[in-house]
Amino acid sequence: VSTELHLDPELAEIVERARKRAIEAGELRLQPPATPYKSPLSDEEKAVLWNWVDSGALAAAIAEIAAEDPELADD
Amino acid sequence: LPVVVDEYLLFDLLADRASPDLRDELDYGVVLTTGSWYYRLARAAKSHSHGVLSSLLRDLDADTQQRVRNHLDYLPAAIDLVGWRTVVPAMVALRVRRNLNLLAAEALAVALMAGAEIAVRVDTPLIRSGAEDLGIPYRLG
Repeated sequence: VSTELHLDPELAEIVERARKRAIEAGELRLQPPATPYKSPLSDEEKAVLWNWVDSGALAAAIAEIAAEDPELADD
Repeated sequence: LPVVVDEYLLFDLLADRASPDLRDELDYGVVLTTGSWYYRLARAAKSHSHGVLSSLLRDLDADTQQRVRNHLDYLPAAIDLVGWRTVVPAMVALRVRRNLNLLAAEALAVALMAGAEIAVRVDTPLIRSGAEDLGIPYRLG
């Protein structure tokens, strides 16, 4: 999907330059990974993380972070 | 189409409980996140005021505790992250209707650079509005 039609020429040029730099720096891939991602965690370890999120603690902590710093807020 | 994910979807990928579609995007496409979302996730995991993760880890041996914590601290190579040196020039060049904060400007700039859509678990009005202005696909997932 091209977004170029929505960008003014100056922004499009800056974005394209940044894109090329990111690719050259290895920060941005153009192709899928050679092998699928495999989590290093065991089922027990994953369950800890799931319980943490299901407890609402992640959402509460993120709400706190966003409330403390407007630069990291959702709105 | 590459996809930029927020910290909740990033968590789902790291904890192996992403939706099949998102999991396919990780395995067969290009998934990115932003430094701001990555930071919010890693910092939330260290939140003392909520201490839930620490209490859940308490009964596990020290090595396991460390492995789980490291998993949230160190982003796997399968998920792309564009550095400040590269993304800041694009962030400051964005022109949209609403004033952007750091979180929103980074997400929008990274999406433009990658030709990606933005996928979030929690609706983020500032990013949604900017994405609309710039023609970036935005989805709740």
